[in-house]
Amino acid sequence: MNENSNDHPDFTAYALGEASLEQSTRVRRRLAEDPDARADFDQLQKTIDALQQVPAPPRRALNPRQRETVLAMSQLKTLPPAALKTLRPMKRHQHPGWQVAKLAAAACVALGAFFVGQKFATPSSAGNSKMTVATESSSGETDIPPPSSSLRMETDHTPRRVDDIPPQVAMQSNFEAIAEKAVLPQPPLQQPPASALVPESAEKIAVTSTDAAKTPDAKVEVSGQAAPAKNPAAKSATSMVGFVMATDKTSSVFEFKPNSARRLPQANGLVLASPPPVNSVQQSKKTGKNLSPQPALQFHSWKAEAASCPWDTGRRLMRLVIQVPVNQAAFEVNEAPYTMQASFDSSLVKGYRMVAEKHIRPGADRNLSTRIVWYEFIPTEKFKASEQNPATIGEFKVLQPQGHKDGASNDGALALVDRGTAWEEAREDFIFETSMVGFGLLLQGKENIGALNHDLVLNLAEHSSSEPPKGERASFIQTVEQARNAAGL
Amino acid sequence: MPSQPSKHPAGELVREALALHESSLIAYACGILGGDEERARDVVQDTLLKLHLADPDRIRENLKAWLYAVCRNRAFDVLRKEHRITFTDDDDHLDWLDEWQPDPSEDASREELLEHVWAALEQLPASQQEVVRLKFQHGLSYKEISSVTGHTVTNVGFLLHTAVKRLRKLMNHACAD
Repeated sequence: MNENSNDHPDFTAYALGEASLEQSTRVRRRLAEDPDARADFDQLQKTIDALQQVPAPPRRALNPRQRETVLAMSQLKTLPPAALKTLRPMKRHQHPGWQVAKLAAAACVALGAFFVGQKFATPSSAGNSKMTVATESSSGETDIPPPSSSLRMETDHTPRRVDDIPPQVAMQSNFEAIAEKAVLPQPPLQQPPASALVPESAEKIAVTSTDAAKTPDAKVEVSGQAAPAKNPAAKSATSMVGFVMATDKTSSVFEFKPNSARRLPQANGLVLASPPPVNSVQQSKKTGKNLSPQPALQFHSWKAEAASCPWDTGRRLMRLVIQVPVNQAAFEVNEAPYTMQASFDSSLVKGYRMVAEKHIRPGADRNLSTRIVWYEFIPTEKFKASEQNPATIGEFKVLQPQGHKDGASNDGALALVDRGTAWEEAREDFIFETSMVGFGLLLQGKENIGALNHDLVLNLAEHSSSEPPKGERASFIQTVEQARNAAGL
Repeated sequence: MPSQPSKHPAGELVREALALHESSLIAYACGILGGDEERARDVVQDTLLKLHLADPDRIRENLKAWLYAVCRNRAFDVLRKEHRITFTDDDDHLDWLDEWQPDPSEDASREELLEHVWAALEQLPASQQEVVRLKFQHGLSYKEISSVTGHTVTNVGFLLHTAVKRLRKLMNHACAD
């Protein structure tokens, strides 16, 4: 405290009984020595007294039905799974012809796969958002730009924890709670239709590397066939099956193809299936200069957020969003893909795998193309992250073409910061997209998916929002229900 | 003999939350949602449903802060969805207060202060209003407010101090008028 100042937060803290011993001593000494300080403090005290005299707000209560719902949840864990199923929230979309859907199992699952792809294109996820570079110290704008530092925490991308317990420990019981809600155990890989949707080398495509040719498969295969354990949580807590070990390969690279970023052209009101290719060679000849064969990629914004994984307490999920303006040379005169790289710090990340990715083309009134990538990673024992002490688990950057310095078009790399957020405290959109990622994993028949099943996907999707799902979200829930029924679950 | 651990600790926490914090949480959410009580009830119901999914051991000691933090997030989610959220924390309109020096002899009495205090509160920037409400209406400690809002404890102290000072001036000004 400035000895010459009577205007210091310590005075308020002292008046409110919030001052530490040291602060109290200082304030008391100041009050004893300085009559002006005493006068100011009296004024302060009067105002605080007035604030403390304000009558309590009128008594309010939940509606009886709401209270009943809340209390009924307490009973869910005591009931057998069969009874639990009947107590699930009422299905909002009972399909009248579900018997038909049951018979057409493969068709339903395929439809589900289609929806998963489409859902990533919902505007709420990122499509309409304007994001700035979200580094640890930056004030990134999200769907609603928060100019106020004090209100920044109200935005959706940094949900807070209320203590410092490490996420691995913190999530253990959450997982159990959800696992109990997830009515049935994971069946032994009952996704034959889904497996047909995924190429055999899907994982290799998802997690590729520049040196992939030299090390064709860096995945750790603990067991040949992923037969789910009877207790998935216990197994998956340590299982690295299907994950890339960060000590073997610290980077995951993926491509950004210009053709997937362009706005779909329209002809006479009809949206064409694919944008026309461009002739970059001709363009170079036109200029007559010794241009770089591939222009540097300028990007508009990027953002990473992480939270615990609902289907395995030992893992975490990270959502990475990259937005690039399409009106740049990289897309206008170039067809060669760009390489993006997410690197993981092996001291904090034991293993990782890419679990979902999505392109969102720019809409009619926007110039930004969006790429969303989801990673699942297994933290090491050293990993400890909290809101107060976030952990930088790695970085993301664009590997610019030769002739351009890395990050020349934008500054440096994006630090992948994990604030130890638990998934229940994450943004609604994050939770809902988590359910979509989970459904995608089920459809793909991915191995090592912990306690993930259709019920967990439904729980996540249905409880991600305080409001009843509408529109495409409701359709997604309906699709998952159909897929679950179709799979005989 | 050590006490038996509860069979359904989350359920007990929910009942405790209902008994102790139901009304104040609704009032808090209502404040964020511009007085929409029905929405506030929905938000609080959702908060309590989330409590079922949370780890009781982790939040038992911080139940109040946890409830307010989740309730706050859900309320802002609702506002965000409805595009009703405004981040006008601009306090430029209060610049005149820094210059205004009331006549000490005209300092408002306690009764006058009581009369004007909440009207004056509405004029404060949102961040200051929020910490004042959490402190004086809901009885949260600096640390709990820090957990709920994401401000550091030091920043909470600063915001409260600034808010109280400004309230004093605003109330005196109102009384002088």
